[in-house]
Amino acid sequence: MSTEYDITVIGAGPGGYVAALKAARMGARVAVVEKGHLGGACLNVGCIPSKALLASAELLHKIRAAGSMGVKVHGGIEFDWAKIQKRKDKVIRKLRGGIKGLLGAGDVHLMTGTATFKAAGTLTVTTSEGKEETIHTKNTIIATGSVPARVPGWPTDPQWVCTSDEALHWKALPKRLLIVGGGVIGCEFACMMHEYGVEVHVVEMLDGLLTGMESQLGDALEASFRQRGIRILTSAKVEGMTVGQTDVTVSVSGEAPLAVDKVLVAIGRRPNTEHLGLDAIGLAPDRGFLRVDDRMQTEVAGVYCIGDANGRCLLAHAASAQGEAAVQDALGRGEAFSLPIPSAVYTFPEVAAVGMTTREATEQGIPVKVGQFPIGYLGKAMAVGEEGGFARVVRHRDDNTLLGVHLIGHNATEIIEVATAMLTMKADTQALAKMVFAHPTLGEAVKEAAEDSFEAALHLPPREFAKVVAAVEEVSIQ
Amino acid sequence: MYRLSLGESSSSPREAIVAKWLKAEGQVVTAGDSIVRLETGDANLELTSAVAGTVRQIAIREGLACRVGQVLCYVGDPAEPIPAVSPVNDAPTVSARASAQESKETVQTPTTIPEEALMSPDTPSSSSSPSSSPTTGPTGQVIPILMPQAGQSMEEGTVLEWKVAEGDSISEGQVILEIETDKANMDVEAVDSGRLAKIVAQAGAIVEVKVPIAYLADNDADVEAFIAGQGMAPEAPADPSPSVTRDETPVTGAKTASSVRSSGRVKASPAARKLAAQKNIDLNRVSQGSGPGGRVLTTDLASVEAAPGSSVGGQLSKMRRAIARNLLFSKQTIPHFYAKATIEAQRLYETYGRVKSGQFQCTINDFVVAACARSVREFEPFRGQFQADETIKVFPDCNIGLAVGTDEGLTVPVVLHADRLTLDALAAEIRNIVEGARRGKMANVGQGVFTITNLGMFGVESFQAIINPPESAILAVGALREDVKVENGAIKPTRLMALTLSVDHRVIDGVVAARFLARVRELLEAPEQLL
Repeated sequence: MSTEYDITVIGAGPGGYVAALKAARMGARVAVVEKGHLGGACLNVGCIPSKALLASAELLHKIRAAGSMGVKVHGGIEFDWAKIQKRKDKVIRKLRGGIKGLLGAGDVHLMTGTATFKAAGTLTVTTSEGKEETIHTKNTIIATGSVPARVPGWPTDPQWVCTSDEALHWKALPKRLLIVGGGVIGCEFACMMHEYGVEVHVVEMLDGLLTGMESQLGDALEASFRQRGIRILTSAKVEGMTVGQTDVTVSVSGEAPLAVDKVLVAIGRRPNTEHLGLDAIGLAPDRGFLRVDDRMQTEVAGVYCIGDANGRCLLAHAASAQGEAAVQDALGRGEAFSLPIPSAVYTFPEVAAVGMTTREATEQGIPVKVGQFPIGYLGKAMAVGEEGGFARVVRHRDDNTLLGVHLIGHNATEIIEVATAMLTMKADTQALAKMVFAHPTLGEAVKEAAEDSFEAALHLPPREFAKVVAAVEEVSIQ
Repeated sequence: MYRLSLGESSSSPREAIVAKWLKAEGQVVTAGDSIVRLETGDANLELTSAVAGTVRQIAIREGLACRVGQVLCYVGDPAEPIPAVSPVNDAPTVSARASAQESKETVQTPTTIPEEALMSPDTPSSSSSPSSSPTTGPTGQVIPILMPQAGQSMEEGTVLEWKVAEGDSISEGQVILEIETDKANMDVEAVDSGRLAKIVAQAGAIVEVKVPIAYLADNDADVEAFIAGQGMAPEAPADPSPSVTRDETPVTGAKTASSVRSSGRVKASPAARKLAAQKNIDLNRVSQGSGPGGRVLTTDLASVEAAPGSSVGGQLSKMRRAIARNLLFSKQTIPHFYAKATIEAQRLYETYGRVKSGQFQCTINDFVVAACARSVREFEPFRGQFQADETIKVFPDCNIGLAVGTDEGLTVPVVLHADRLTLDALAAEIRNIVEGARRGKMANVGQGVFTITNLGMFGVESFQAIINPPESAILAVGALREDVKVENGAIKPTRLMALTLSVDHRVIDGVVAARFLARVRELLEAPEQLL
């Protein structure tokens, strides 16, 4: 049997299924090929399950601090890990069902199996039972996502060394956990596991947490983690590990050997582009990633790549947005995609950012002015007992263009949307400073930070300059 | 020419934005002048210059970010050439960036010998050594590897470990050894490739910066010739330190005249001297040195047996030496007196338990620090320091030092403004600096006015501590233990903790010390006040 589609999407993650729905909505004949569960990494082993586990952890965190809010909890505070896992699984099942329903309602042909290219426009779909089917398609959107990277040479038995894929579905909690990598995934797990009573050690090779983000965010998160008793080793490297009878002994540069029950590798993700038969259409991935133009098209006409697999931005919402852009281009209504993409870290306190960091601006030679406002100064923050964190606004020093907004604090991932809106509209920073925010809200910190970038924050005392002697080094210039 | 940068300190930010240059290129700077304003979004800084000269080049223009240690501008003589840096994106220097955040950094070895290193080997015997002027040059190429200068304050470094052995081929960029400075441990990379012919500074050796620690050469003979030709010790001498045996013994045995100075001192290279000290070899027993003028070299020691019996303590680490000097100075010059109070710590124990399980991570010691900080604020003499001119200087800030034992020895990182921090912030800060200290990163060392030392966790009931100069008091905290107390004639089980205060009687009188201790007791016996 052979069918011709306008668009075939490989992978039903947040990029793929959204692309399929968009294409169907635009009147195209659409197929989606998925080898596993609907929803991709995001729904099954990423954003959603981690948020479900974090939600229980945060509730626990709040209950433990209930005394300070005048709420007494009688008896001990306990949690039921099995039930927490069950709730997470239920959330996943419900969302999978939702996607299936939407695809069905949109008249998208869902195929279960793996797709490989025979030629541009011809794909072979192999089901798990080994049945093969050839489909013809005018356009293909590769949305195969990524898998967690592992470290070559380290033990692979998930009893000892796992990635987030396994860690999200642990049946029992380890007593001692070493997390390798202080990026988003490492930080979220550190935060979550610590709350569940796990002794957590984080080893990061670079000099801080969340290193791609504005450095003050990682510094603040690190301070908060340390205060809670999470052990953070930055500028440190795992030099080796030995699996013993009952635990793993890890040697970290400059530290005494550390015995832990599990090691979680959170060093990044690897694109899933190996088994697509890309040779058949003459595409060569660059370290696994399929490079695309601003319309998400690869070097082969009619073949698009969205989401993690193109390596532009490894975030679910980026994949969805790119998916829509790819579909519009495939159906002849495309335009270059260049919208700002916010990033969100669901630790408590949350971290969120959109736009450029100070460092990125400096690297591009763009002069900046920053404004910063501590969330703890806000009435709402005090009232709800969530006083940690700050908002930081980076603007162009000369023309006032809003360049980036960086937040750490309670609900930062929700508050960032206002900044994303302004940045998407290419707003002037004055517009953000003038905007009326509801009072009392935590979002007011963004307004104050924007004002502060003009040295006009009404709720900050004028800043003084503390005199410090510059470090001096004698150099000889030849 | 000087390069100015934002220095590292525990309170300074990692990164700041250049807000405004207060001096332009070509303008004259005198020491103390403000040169640039930096913004962080949180604290703002105005950097002043400690050197005088002309601003030759501004490396980071207004609006761009700079990292700690990254060069901001060059100040020098108008006649000097201008450094070749891009004014927009000057790459951060490795050592500066690293030292801000890491306890371990990578530096490269300089391979040119500065003239002064050649001219003044700085050995006690060099001035009168007949061989100190260069005579024969090396036959093949010999490249000395020098102790790097990582940071301008570094004067000497200790070789911790060689990662390569004599005879190995090393390549540029390869980490060849690890050194220890007064600040951090760091890996040293080779800047030249070649065969490592000779290591002259073995692990443990303390070597001045820019002094050879090893040589690259194809032939070992070339190295010996090179060393002999330079008339220079193959190794920098160590500072005199209390426990190192130096050969000041007059010559008694059959010595060849050439190896003996008129002072009666055996002429030997510093390396040989040190090796002899390490191996407990009496240099007088070396019959004939093979170095220039009969100087004893390390190679001459191979056949000499160590003296039986007494052992030599080996080289003291820099830290050990500092401890020794400081505490000796303290105990010898400060008239200590001691006051001890045993406080009832039942409520403290319960409060601590409640806070720890329900609110935030903390220790008993955090409460002690908080109580002391508050008392130090209330009792001005505890912020006073006795000056050399017989005056007492009072400091405004309640900066509290914490004695932290590390593998290398005792350090005292300091919590700034401990009286202004809430207990949870204080606990976090203490955890931070203590962990930092254990990893070799010292916070605010020397800025304290009062120190707390706690051996309670080892079960020590009470002890008397030596004041950490120039401070005037230190509190020794004993174990919080279950005990009984007699109250109104009845025995009551409770928890007790002994606090022993040592004070400098020149600054603080007995009554003041007693009142201070009573105040600390009052706060700790009703610890809710500290929350």
